[in-house]
Amino acid sequence: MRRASIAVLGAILIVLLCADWIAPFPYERQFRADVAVPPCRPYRLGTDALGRDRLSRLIYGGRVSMVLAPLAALLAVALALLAGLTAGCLGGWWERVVTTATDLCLSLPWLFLLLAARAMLPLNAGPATSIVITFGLLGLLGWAGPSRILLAAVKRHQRSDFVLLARSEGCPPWRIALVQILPNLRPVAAAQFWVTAPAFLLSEANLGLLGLGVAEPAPSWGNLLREMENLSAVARNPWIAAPLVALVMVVSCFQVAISTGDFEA
Amino acid sequence: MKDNGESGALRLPFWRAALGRLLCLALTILLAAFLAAALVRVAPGFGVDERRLDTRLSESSIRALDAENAGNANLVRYFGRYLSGLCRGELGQSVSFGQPVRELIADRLGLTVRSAAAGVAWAWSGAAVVTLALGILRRRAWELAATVLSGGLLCLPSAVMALLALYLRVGPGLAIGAILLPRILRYLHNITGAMTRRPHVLAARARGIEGLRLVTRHVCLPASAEVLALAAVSVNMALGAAIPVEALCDSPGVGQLVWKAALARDLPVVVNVTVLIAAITASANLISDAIRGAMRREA
Amino acid sequence: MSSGGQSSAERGRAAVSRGGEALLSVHLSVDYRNKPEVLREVAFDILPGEAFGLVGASGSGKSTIALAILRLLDMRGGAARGSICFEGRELLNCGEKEMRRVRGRQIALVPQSPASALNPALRLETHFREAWQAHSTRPWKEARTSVRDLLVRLELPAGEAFFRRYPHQISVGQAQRVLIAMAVLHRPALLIADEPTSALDTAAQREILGLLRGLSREFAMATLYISHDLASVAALCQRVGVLRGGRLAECGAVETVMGADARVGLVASGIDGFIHAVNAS
Repeated sequence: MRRASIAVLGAILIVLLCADWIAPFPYERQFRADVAVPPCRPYRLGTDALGRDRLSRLIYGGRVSMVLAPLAALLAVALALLAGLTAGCLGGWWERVVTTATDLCLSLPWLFLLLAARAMLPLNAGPATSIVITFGLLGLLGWAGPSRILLAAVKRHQRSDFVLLARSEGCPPWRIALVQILPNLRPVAAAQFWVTAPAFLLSEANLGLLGLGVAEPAPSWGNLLREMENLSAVARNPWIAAPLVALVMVVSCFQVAISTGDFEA
Repeated sequence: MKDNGESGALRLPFWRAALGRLLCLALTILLAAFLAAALVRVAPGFGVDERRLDTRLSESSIRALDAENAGNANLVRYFGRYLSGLCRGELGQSVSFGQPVRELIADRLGLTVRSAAAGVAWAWSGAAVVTLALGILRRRAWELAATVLSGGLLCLPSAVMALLALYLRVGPGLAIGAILLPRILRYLHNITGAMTRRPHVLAARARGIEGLRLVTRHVCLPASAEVLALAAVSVNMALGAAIPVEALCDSPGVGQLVWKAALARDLPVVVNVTVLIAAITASANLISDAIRGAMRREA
Repeated sequence: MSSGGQSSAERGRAAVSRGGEALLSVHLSVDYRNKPEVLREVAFDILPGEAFGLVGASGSGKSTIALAILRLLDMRGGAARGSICFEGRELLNCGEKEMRRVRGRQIALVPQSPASALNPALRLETHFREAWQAHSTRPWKEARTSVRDLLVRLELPAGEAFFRRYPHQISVGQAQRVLIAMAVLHRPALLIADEPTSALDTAAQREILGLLRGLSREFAMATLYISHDLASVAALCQRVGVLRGGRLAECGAVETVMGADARVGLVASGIDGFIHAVNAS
């Protein structure tokens, strides 16, 4: 099951990466004569209120979300690894600083933290800047949860027999951290990545629906969902829900990959 | 303290632990407040007082405004002022709403607390019923169905759930409950699942104990510490869910306030509400820790 | 067992004063965080090139002494008081940096439980390279040949394929030899072997003891051999100390401590042949 879901995710990612070749039209191209038409040729999913082809925007938006959410997750896990490893190996006041920072980050509801951080930054930035801001914030703020788990793993490994052996050989502490402990953190870090990436996809969707995500005209699955604000219209024209269907499919693949995987806590 | 040395020795550490925890809570809030003040201070647009642009003001009034703002230039003095204002309950002035922040929060906090509490109650009731039913029935098919259903709901962004709630015309409390339900159900399922695999449960079943008695006394009761921790986390989740629910369902609570303020880059509102929420969630964690500590001491 | 007016520590030290300068001179008490006085006034000496055995029941504090000598008790939450004099230097006064120069280079440890002592995420070559680079500035490529020779000496495969294996891909016996090879890499003056044969069957035990004996002769290495198994101690060591209740109850030559009766007991149980086999290798 796990392999199948990872294969599906990989296939979707490859399709979305080829957006420039697969999408029928550029995402910002407006067909003023064909505004808000239902699915027909050449608009497979119809057009939106500004006359832009929905399928093209779905594909380009998917490229943004599916590439950047995992990248942001990588950033978050990398930061968490750095924090956890240094805190666990150095100990003392540095460990206390990291633990306090983690607790502070985790004490706030995630969306509150995102909103507060987003409000600090300019809102009328261009689409490219807003993409970097949105996913950069996710990566920079999402380190706290994985860091707690990684710190616990580091402290567990520090008490292990192979670290005792390395110390008895006279290895310096930084070498023990990098060569002995870090490779053993790989499964934990991988598990955290698989949990964080879909969480970031959903967070970006929430930010997009609230108007604080990627700026127009650049599409992302988050801001494409804004069309769904009028649910009665969606009931009449179900193809509007295509981004939601895509999002649910991708997140459930991640879920299957997590739940059936062998992850060491 | 009692004369009886044993119970006296038991009492003293509890108060000391509670005091220590309260101190940590105060320090956390202080740190959050300092960060908040620093962020407002360094954000672009600080120090530009819109009141200066009012042509009706006289020269002397403008000079008074300038003198007031000059005091804010130094970060430490600014934080000092912010803290003293915080103690007096003055949280600054909202840029976009044109009202004192304290008034804005006071008007809206009650609604959010009621919605969040209702949401937590709905979610926990639903999750408890499903978990108990699954524990008593112990059918793989039902467990699979529950896992698939909660998994499906977890794939929906909270904002979409809020839209569904708006479409189905249910209140914000039920909407928050619907967002929380799959998460709490999953955690509860993991906790009880781990407890069910413990040897004491097998021993209880070997003695012929089944059904509700097995689930409540031998599975849920030993897991009460983790369940309490989950309760504190659910407060955190409910407050987070309040933002999309109130924003999209047009419910005038603190969640909608912070959303509108974020859209308008109204930092005094955003930052003060964030500190308030941090205080609430930190307090919830503190209470949960204290109860768990007391339970451990009695065990 | 032996009797007499002197304490075992005094008798042990008397033996040293008759011989030469002690390589290691220990006089220790150890406390753990939740268990005070795990070891009380344990005192013994080890001469250069000598094999000294330390026996005791499980939990009598044998491994604690190994950790204490290497100043690694902090990893298990313990603290040592007293004196550890190695080559005329007081180890308890050394800083961490100084101790790092001693560990692995002058005093080496062969830990218990080969299964958990090797890092499951690293290949065997990385293990050797780390042990090598802790004390040598020569590049690893130069050292590989001498390490291969050492592996052959320890009856391990010396090919490229063995170097690239992970710890879970080799047997327990091979893992034990790998640990011994890593320990003698820098030709330490003292080798502390903490229950090196407890995880092995009798045949493998015999081989390991033979290897230890051969290596200590070849490298002029003193050995502190810690075990709960009297037979292997009798086979390998010249002197032995017996730990009981946190104290060193007996200390002296193997024949004296174990006594003629014990010797008879060993013969009767057929272990005598085992001892001869080890002595012959």
